[in-house]
Amino acid sequence: MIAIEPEPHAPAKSEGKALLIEGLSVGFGGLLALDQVSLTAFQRETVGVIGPNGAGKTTLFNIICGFVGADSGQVSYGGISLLERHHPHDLTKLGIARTLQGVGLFAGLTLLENVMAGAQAGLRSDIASAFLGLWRSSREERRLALRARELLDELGVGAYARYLPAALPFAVQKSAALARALIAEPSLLLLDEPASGLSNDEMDELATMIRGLRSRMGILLVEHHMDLVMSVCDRIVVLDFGRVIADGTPESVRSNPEVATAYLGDEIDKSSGHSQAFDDA
Amino acid sequence: MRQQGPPRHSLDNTSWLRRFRLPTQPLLRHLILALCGAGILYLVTSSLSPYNDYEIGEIALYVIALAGLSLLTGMNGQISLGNGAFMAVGAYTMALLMTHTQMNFIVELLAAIGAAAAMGLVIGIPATRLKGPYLAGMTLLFALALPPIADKWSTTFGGDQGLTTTVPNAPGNINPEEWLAWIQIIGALITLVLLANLIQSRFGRSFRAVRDDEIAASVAGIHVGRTKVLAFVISAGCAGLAGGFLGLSTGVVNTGEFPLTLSIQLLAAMVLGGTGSLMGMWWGAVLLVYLSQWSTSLSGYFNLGSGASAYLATIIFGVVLIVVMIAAPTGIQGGLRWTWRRILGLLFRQPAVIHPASGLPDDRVPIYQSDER
Repeated sequence: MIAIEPEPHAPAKSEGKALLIEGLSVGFGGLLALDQVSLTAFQRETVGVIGPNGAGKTTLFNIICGFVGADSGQVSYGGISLLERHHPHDLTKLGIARTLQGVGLFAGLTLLENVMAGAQAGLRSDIASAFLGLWRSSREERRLALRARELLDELGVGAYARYLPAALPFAVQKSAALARALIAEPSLLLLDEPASGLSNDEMDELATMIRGLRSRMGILLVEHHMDLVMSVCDRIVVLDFGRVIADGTPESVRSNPEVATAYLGDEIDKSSGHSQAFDDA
Repeated sequence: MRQQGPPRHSLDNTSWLRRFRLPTQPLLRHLILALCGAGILYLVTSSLSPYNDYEIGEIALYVIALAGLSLLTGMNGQISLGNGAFMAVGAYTMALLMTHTQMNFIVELLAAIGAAAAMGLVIGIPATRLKGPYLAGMTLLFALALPPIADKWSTTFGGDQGLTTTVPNAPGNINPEEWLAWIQIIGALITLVLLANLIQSRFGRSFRAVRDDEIAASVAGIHVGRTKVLAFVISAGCAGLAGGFLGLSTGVVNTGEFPLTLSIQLLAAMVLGGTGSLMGMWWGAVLLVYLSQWSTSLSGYFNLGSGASAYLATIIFGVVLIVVMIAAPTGIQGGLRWTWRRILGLLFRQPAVIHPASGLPDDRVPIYQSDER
């Protein structure tokens, strides 16, 4: 499906934009959804965020996107705070793009228009030229349509460009949702459960594609599917009940007994230091 | 960027209909369509009686109001029961300027649009926080609250008598009804061209994206609130122009011309024509103008009392709405499109792949648009 070759790369730890999260806490009523969470994603680094259901992964994404406010702590990207006067529609201007859980495509727009909608913040044509249908507006639209079509072709779903999403296979919709995020040319890509609902083959293609993307942008990946997280991430952060219980390379996280406990409860033999949880997943 | 398919037989004499294509450039495309429409309407108005011309002018003015509502509801997903009141704002603005100043007629019409659009901004900003029935309720309140204002300051707004309007003198020996009809038709065609252009631009895509999924739209970088307010303002501006034209048709502007039922009828006519379509608004406007007339003659035919005949129009409107919604859930325009597609399919063995949004065969959908207008 994807022809992007993974390039050898090293996350840039000192230069460029980084996502910095420090001491982030947020509560809903009496429940602490996130408790003193600290996390860093450097430029061109693929960071996986995993944890059992209700661990706070999606809340973390929602705070970064500005859907949810934080009680305390700091979140910034490239030195710009994402907590104060931050709105979801500003994200793409900061170079952050996000895919939504499920698919989140616009049902009444064709696949092509869905992808075009992802570049909305970068368009310059004014309302007067749009009303008058001037070439200034239509040329920009045509260029964008071609770029969206290229991106769909690149993801192997260009043949479906003119169809409405509901009529299409789930994996095609997922690819289009990814294309909609990529067309904004983000420097940080937030992927919210990109593998859910995909078959094993489709997941392999997704992994290949994420590896192809990571030389171009930082990726923050929330995912349940362990094989995928283990195979594409440079670093994995494990959340449990809103706290960070592990942060390290896939190998170190895999052998962390606390992580195994969080996933399987207390019955697991802690002394083994290794659990079936990841091998089965 | 068209997909590679099997080679087409360009000499195939049955494919002439399919090979005819309008340009996809919005201005060229919609100007061509508008000129075709103007040609047809010229033939119609010049062959009919002055009274029929007057009715065609009324149809044209309702097309303007309905097109704005279709953009707001069909493209942006907002329901308004207040567009009759926006029409009143436009009508009163124009009539006040005609009574107290000697401005150019075009300027007075632009002022009517501007005043209604400004009112749309005032109503539209709080409206962005409301959805569905709550939004309908709020706009309904606006429609209810406006007429008493005109009654309260009756010296300014003319009270029950209202304000008189004057149509600019017709050039040459054109009869006044035809002249007024053509003012309204040109207004309608310009409005349709502008709206069709807008729908085919990035703003149109924002409208539809916000309608489908506000969260996904905001993540995609679309300012949801601003988009919804823009749709509301445009819709109100259209209503303002239509209101001004209605004031010209009736000759006076008073609150009786803009009852609450007007807003509801606009919404029903928009649904009948085909929500989200612009062309379909002609059907909605025709029904709006003629149904009440037909019901009047029908009640005369059956010798109904004045009480019963007053309700007959509403009943017929409701029955037509029910029948159309059962037969063609996408409105008259959607039903016609479906029928036309079937006819083409029978005649030319259209490909099985039909673009779901527009009903056009897959290879005829312009690359950057889906919703047919």
